[in-house]
Amino acid sequence: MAAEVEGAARKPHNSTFTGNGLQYNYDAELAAVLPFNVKIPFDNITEARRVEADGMAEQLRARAELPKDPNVLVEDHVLPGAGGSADLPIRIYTPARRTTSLGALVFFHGGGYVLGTLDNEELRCVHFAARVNCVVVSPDYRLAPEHPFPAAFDDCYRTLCWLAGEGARLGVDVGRIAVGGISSGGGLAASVAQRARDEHGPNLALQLLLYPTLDSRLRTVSNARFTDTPLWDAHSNRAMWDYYLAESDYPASYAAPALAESFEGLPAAMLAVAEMDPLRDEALEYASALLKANVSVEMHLYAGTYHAFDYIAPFAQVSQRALADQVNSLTKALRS
Amino acid sequence: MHGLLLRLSGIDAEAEAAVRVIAAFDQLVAHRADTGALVRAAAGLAECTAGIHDPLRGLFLSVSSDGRSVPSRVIPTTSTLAKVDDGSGAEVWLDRVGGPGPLDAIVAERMAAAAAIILDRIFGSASYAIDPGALELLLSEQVSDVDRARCARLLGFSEARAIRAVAFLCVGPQRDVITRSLESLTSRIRDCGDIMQLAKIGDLFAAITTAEQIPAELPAQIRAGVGQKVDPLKAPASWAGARTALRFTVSLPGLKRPPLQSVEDLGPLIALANHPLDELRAMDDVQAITTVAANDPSGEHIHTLDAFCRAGSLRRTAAELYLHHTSVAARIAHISSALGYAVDTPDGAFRARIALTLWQLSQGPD
Repeated sequence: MAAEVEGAARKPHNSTFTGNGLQYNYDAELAAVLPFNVKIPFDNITEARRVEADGMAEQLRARAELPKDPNVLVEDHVLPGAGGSADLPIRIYTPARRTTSLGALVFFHGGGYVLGTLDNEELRCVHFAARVNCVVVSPDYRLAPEHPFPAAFDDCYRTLCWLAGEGARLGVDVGRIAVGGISSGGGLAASVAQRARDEHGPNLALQLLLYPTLDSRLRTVSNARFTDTPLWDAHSNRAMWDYYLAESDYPASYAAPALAESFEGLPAAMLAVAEMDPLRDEALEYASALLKANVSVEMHLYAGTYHAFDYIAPFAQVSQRALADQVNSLTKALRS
Repeated sequence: MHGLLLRLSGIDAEAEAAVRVIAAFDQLVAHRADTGALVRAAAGLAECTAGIHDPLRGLFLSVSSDGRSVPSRVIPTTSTLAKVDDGSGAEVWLDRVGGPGPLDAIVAERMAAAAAIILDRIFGSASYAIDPGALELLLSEQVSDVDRARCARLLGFSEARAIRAVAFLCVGPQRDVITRSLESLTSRIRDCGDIMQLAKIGDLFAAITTAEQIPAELPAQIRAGVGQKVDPLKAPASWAGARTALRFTVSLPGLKRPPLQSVEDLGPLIALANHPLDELRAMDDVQAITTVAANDPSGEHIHTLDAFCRAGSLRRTAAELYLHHTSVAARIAHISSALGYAVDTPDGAFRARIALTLWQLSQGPD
């Protein structure tokens, strides 16, 4: 990670913007946004959150200028704390015109377990609700380092169980629930799927894993190679696990899903993988492990892409394609 | 993930924004963007609609800020426009709800600069565009072979591949619709791997193409004459052939002719076109047809005569015109007396058919 903090919107630009991209064969549209990419200083949490909050405030101003999707209702709720657990804010996206009971997706935002809010993935969740015609529930899970593992994991699993229990009230067919997430949210989705299997929790129709963080061992070729890629690199990868991992009574794989002893009986998976992403190879290995355990896998590796490209450059053709692939998988999995 | 995008509109310092804009378009060029990528990136970064129009290459693309194509085929009047500086007439634009933003001019300008490189890369030597007169020079007889060879190369033609000239004439009032039809015809031909260059020369659109076939189903209001297949250096001869063939596509009241004619299919009829217009008009037989036509605004008699000359018998003519053969006989008798010779003999029919063709050709242009 660059030692100097680039970014803060008001800071004057110097000629070297992060990862100028010419050393990698990036897709042209994804390369074009790099001069506008603000690298968040992941090694300084306070500063990182400030930069992200500034950026998100700007994004929200942009969104406010756009017409809201009239086909989706967006509501904030709180799952009240019980038995020592804290209140958990959640956001629920519901198709406005519903005819029958719907499938549902529990979706987790990214941010390396230390950053991110419900706003990060709001556009994607609205898109899913409208295009897949499903209910989407997204928790504002607790963040490390203040709340290391298993806080976020517990919050995410709790959201799933709440939906499985209360879903009928929301018009959800609780037999048709998927989990999904992007980046660390993808890692959370994979471990939530493992726990649902282990504890005979809700039956899941799909685990939608977008550029997920899966393996804390950091031993892949992609992790060694991509030390300067935009949005995620090997340095932030190491820092993330340092922030997140902590002792607990849970199996290690609930923090790093690749460490699971068995992959059998897990729900079908859809994996989206970026080419120039340190997380690439752990996704390939995870897909392979699932397939060997007879778990159905659909996997897309998008050439010329970097981590979470569809989050940062949704207008790009490859991002539109990736989003369409996600919608297709969810639609198929949540079909009645 | 950790990272977010600065909004272009959120950068306070204009100089800093400009540096980033320049870098963004440099990235597109360096990473070999196509025109779609260029327009989507511009729309995404500027958070408004962006577009490109290249009339010569038949390209029109408009994209909204979410990267999706906008079906419209017009450049909004409120747009911030920038010309692609390669002489092609191509332009790019940004169109923002609520009017142009402070940085739209520089974004459009950098987009145009990138477009010049990208268009050149995709369409090969865009050079006909560099000099719109190149096509005219190639077709001109007043140019030395050396200059003509240079023009041919600039336009992407090589001596290894024969070409044809095509003369298009638009006969309707909707010029821009017709221009677009020709552009799309051009891109269809290019999609098949052929070269086609198009330019407006006087009242005509001139094309040179390596394509063997010009699709016969031309858009309404367009007529076309196709010249003979020649070496690129002989383009003026093919162009002359194309313009001659175009004269045989003229339709007149009662005289319907296909809108596309190849000079090679005319055979010896081509000799009929070698006479100056005033000489044609002065011929007795042509004047006789002109008189019949003048008294026959609906074209009924000319139509009967034309059908009879082609069919060769009253009965077949009657069948073609859905008339009783006695009605045809009456009309032919009337026309014979007007023309001053008996049309219902083989020689008379031949003479009348030539007269009809000369009458058609006498409409010009020569």
